[in-house]
Amino acid sequence: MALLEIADISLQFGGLKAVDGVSFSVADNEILAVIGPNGAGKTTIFNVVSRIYKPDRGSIRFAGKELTLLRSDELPGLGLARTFQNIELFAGTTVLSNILLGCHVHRRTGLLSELLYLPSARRQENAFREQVEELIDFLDLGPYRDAEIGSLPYGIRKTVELARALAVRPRLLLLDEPSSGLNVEETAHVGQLIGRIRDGVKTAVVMVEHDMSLVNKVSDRVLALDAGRVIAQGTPAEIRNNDAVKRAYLGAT
Amino acid sequence: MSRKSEAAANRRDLTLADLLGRQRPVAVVLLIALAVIPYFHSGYWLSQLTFVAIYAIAGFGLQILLGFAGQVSLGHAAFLATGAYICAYVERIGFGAPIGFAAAIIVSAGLGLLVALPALRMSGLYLAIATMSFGFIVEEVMARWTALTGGNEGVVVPAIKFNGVALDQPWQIYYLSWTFCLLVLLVCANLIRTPTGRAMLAIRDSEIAARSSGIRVSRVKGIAFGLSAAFAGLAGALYCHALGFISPDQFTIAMSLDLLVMVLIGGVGTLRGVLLGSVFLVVSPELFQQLIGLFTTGNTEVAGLRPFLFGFSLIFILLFQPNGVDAMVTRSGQWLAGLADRWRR
Repeated sequence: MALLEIADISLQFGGLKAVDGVSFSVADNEILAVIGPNGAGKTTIFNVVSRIYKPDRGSIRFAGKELTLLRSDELPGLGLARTFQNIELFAGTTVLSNILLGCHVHRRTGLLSELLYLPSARRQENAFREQVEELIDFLDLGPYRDAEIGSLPYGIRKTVELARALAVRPRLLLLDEPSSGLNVEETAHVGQLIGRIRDGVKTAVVMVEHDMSLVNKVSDRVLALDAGRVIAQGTPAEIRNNDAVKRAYLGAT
Repeated sequence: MSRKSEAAANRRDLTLADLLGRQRPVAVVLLIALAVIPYFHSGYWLSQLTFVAIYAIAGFGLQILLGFAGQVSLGHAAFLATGAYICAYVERIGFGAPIGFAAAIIVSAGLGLLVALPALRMSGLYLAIATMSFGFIVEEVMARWTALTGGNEGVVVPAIKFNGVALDQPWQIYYLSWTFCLLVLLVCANLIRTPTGRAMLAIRDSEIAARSSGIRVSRVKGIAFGLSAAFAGLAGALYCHALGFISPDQFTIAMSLDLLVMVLIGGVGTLRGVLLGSVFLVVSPELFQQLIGLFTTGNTEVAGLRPFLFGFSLIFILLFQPNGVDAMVTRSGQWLAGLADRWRR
């Protein structure tokens, strides 16, 4: 059974059908890229899956659970983490606290043991720090550990957001435009990272992406959208030569 | 520190020594000073220092709400009032201080949770207005629920009774207040180095990212309001005993604003700032009064000095040092350390 199974979801904003009967699935450990021209509904699908929006109809099953019945804050506990197109970090605090917040779903202590800093709270903090340091090593964030987010360049912030999502220990990682705002070298670096994440952390990845070189390099499968509908699915090579995709990007040919 | 031990230090939790850092010697000296002061002085300034501790307890509570969780409260005096009146009432009908204090904390915390309900749907200015209105409501209840509060005439608060022994000396209340103050400080320090405290910072900075990290925003806001009100209630319980008499005109919006000024001047988001702010709140009006007395003769009581001083200081701080006195202290500490380094070379 697929890890994520989306069946016939639709969402309408006023008169605009942002997502119109979209179905697709993602297998364990698979990297799926979602592409499409501006306004195709890519980010909307992300926001529907992560329960920021509620779909008008359709079902989203993740690891056997129906996501449309859950709140967005219940998803990370199931193993679903995401990043945002325009970076949503906790700006008033450090890189370290941001990544530690990704560990929040693994919290086992109650409020009282935290307020009194009982041995259980202490052990948990030590375990969290250990995990966070592994991520910091993995993503080369060591020099920025105690820096405040506001003082960091854009590319580093994107990496911090990725680290926070990985601290959830996700089975499925949703990346909303991992290369946006990055230069060519940084984008190549992100491509390497995504490959390493899949192999090292064993997670499936769904990413919205515009940069076709990145899509071709890392994705196993590509889902092409236009005007809220799926127009093609297949390997990167198949999608490159698909007529419907060419039409969507270049107009009628 | 070698690279290896540094790496090991990164992999463990924050100890209290880490949190204090290079301030450890200063903290020890201050603690000793606080401990021995009653042996040398038992007059006016001892009671003022007691109020520094009491305001700091309420300030820690407000800092949790404002500095950590990012929720504003313009009605915090209402929680102090609740703590003070509940404690006084419970002790008046014959219970000992432990039960009086526990009741004060629990009822205030409950009220805090109640206020959290509308706060789940409001933020910023709207929340400020809602909490301010809550403050007015409690003020009105204090004036009218005479059976509990004695109305506008106020009530005389019995001495603290612990196991039948009365603690009515100023130095006893001084030690009690500072013990509670340091305990609350410890609890706040624990909060900020564990998940729930970090979750508060998270909802302050981005609710959407907090949710997508698995944080239940409504729960964390509720805890912030509950804890904040509980500490204010504890401060209220101490306050009523330190004064020996309470009436509604002590718990007006002026007190809520004083608490807010304390946190803003001390530094939003820092615990040390609360202590500094509390010293400022209690000591500075008196200090200025005496300073003016040096240059004038006759009646030197200056009307409206307090609000003028606080207002002026607030504007000054917000303009020139938005991170409060705490940041100034940090900077001067760094400057001194640099100076010491150069001296050694």
